[in-house]
Amino acid sequence: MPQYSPTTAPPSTEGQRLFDLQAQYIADLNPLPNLAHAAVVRSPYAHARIHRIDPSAALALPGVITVLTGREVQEWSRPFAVAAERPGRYYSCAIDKVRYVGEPVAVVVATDRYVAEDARDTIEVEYEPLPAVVEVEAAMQSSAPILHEELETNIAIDRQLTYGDVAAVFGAADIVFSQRYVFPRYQSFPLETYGIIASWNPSASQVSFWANFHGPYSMLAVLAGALRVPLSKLRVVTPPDVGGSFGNKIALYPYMALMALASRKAGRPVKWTEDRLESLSASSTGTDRVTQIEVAARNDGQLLGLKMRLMDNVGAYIRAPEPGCLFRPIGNFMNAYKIEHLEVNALAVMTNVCPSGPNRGYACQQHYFPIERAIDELALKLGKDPATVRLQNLIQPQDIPYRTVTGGLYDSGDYPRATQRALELSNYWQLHQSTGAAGPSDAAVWRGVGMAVAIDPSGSNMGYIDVSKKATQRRPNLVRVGSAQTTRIYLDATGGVTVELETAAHGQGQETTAAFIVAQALGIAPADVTVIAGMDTGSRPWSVSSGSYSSRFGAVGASSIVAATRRLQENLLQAASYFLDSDVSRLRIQAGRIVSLDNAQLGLSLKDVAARLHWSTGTLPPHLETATQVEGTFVASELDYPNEHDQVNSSAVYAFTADVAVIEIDKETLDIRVTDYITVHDAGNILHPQIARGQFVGGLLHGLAGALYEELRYSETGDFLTGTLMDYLCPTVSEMPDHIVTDHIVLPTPQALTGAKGVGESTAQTAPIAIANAVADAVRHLGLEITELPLTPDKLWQQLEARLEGDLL
Amino acid sequence: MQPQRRTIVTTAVNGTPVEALVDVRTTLADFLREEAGCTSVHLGCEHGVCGACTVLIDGLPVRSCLRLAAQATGHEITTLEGVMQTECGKTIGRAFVEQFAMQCGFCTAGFVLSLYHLLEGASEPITDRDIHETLGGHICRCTGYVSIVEAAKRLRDQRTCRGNS
Repeated sequence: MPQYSPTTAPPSTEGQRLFDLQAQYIADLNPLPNLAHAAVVRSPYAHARIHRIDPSAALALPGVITVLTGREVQEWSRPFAVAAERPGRYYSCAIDKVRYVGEPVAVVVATDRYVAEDARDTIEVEYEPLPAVVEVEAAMQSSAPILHEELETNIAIDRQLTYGDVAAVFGAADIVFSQRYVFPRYQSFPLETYGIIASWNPSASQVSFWANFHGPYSMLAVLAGALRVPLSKLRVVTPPDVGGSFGNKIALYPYMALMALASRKAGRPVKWTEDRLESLSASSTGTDRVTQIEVAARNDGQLLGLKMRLMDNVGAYIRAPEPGCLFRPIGNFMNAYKIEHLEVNALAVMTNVCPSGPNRGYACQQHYFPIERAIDELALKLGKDPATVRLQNLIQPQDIPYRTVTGGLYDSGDYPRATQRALELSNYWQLHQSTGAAGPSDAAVWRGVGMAVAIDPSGSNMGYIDVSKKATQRRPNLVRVGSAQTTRIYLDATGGVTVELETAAHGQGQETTAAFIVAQALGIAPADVTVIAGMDTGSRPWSVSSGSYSSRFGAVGASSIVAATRRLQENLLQAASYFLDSDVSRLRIQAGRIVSLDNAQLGLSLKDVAARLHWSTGTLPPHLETATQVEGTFVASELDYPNEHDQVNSSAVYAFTADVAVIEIDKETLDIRVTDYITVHDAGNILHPQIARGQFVGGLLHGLAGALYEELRYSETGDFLTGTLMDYLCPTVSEMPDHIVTDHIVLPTPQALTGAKGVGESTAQTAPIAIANAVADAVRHLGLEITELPLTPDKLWQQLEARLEGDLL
Repeated sequence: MQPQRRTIVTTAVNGTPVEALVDVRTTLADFLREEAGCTSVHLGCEHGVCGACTVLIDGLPVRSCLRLAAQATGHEITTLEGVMQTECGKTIGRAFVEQFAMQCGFCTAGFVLSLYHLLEGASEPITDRDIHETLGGHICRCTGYVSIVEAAKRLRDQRTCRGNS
């Protein structure tokens, strides 16, 4: 066997399974006999009253088993819980009204999917269409159609947060300006759609699900509440292979409720696989937001304070984990800048579109876009370079650990260094001499260069969500705080090591990384570590914060693997000490052996220790009886509950990203192309270089998509306009930048046992902004303003036309 | 006369004869997954854009979601299950696994089928542009494509597959 070198990262375990033809995605599974298939009847209207549902034609079709409608859903379940002052009553299926195109109205269960879909088309639903509202500012007007009449408003949350002395710094500022920015509605679009197998079996002790759900498992508490069962009565199995999520599949749980009820009515297990139109119109999407931002600064470029009015369009129902988009980044509200005065008006507004939810870069995309665009505008107003203004305002290394005015704890980092590195690698200063109007007049393109920086939070503190309530309305007896993860490791009688993952991965290479971590610690080959993938809440330890979301594997999930591995190491040393009758402090684990520092001849292989621990249980002292089975739990430290000033350390760790984008705009077609993209990260220790790079580049793709191509669009009356991939444009390899550079500075976080910070969302947060800033740089001399995404040739053209007309007048 | 509802499909999937009575409207993708056991065929969009369900029919890449099973009669179909029986396929697999040219893996089989067709079939030296055009017919949401392009270039340069020789 070749010598294992721990500096060589192992190839992809997950990929090998795919090429061994052993992948198991949800659609491939038939875990129960007698599976029936479901199709969902959906609303064609954005807003309508349901007068009658007649399923008789469907029930008459051969193969149709049953039809579930809102009547049973209302009788058998409760509305989903959500942290909002004025939530609508949100069930898994419309009861008496539909509130967005695609909302479930009924479920047909049949012996096969083709028949279920035939039957779906025969169900008669009598609707009374109502006026709809789709824009967030329109929905806030008193004259707007009201989605949930009992609330008498569409505003689910309206929180006023104030930090520092905002009035004073705005009064003392040399320059104050305001701007309105719009961040679009789009989704990461996992290529595998939602899939669920639900079994409501009255003879079984649990309601069972197989689903491509990946946490946070707090959503299972919401699901259990809706189904009116204790959490222990739910069992959720996530298969080893999940075809992407990016946060999108967190919002699977309402469909899990719906399919559980469909199974209850059908009296047999039900399988449902969503199609792409359903996914685009009625699964989940990133939240679209209008921000009104006001900036106070000094003439030398020093930022003094911000006022932000955040208006989130959460869709027809505010659905947990929303309002996360308003509050997830609370600790890092000021990004990487040393600003101590901030006023935020946070609004969650319901409109007649699909409910929103987490999506790669959750909340940070939306939050940083107006800040980072406004900093470019400030620089322009002051005649300074945007990079200079950023460098001037960044938190300095000597300020770290830094407590933000909103409660965040930035424990490690060197933001100026990472930023300088990005500027160097992109040749920013020289490039910026020849962009926009400074480019050659005979060139076919205008060039632009732009940058963005971002604090990248990972490992969400569950506590942040309670900022949605005023301090006086929080429940002192239920203090939601923290982020924890548990991992179990077993040593078998032949020396084999098995790691059980409890994080429900969906493409992040966690099996590869887990094996690598354990193998490095024990000095064995990663191939000798068995990793149990997927997740099963019926047999593995988990908590409400478990799962793969908020970029938490590197800092939290992997730290629990380290914690378990350390226990196993300690047990191995104790066992060897007992077997060799040697002082434990003189023993070490090296290359799969426990060796003595004093006697080179003295030692035991992992296999020997394992065999003795298993075969000699009758003779072991009590402290070694369970030595082969360990459990490691990692609980992120420094996480707190929001205080009376609405301050909270909202994430376990904070990484940093500094990006530069170089773009070209064709002068004739206004086609925008990103030619170069440079992204520099401080993600702490890198657990697996290729996997980390894959996350950065994948994040760039998602950011690029939102900057230039993808938008889920509705007509004014709420008709859904982007139901196919001909309308919803996903970038292919041809749209990717020609030159992509990823680089790191490595400043490990003391908050995680791995020293790692998040990598999963990083560039998804910065890319839309860096690209927007680069486009603004390219077209500024034409008088165009870049205040909303995605930036398309037709949008630039419309602005240019309006401008030309204005000039002619 | 009643319209015919069922039909017998007689085809070869990865070199093995398959005969099955199916609904006339059964898509080729569903047929391959349900009747022929080829679960590597993944459905991403079911309207011919994303490329995840790509298979070879008589050696040419086709979106199996846009074909009916009935149209397969008399033709030979190759899926990832068949490609992995070949030396070229095994080389592709190694390159993808080592380059991390996949993350969630849902789109991967489609990319591999189109790439296999390029690597096995090219009569001229394969250019970077050929690679981009081949991969450009597929959507991947995880990798940002960079690692897939790297794997493809490595495979082109290794010349293990028949084409480009």
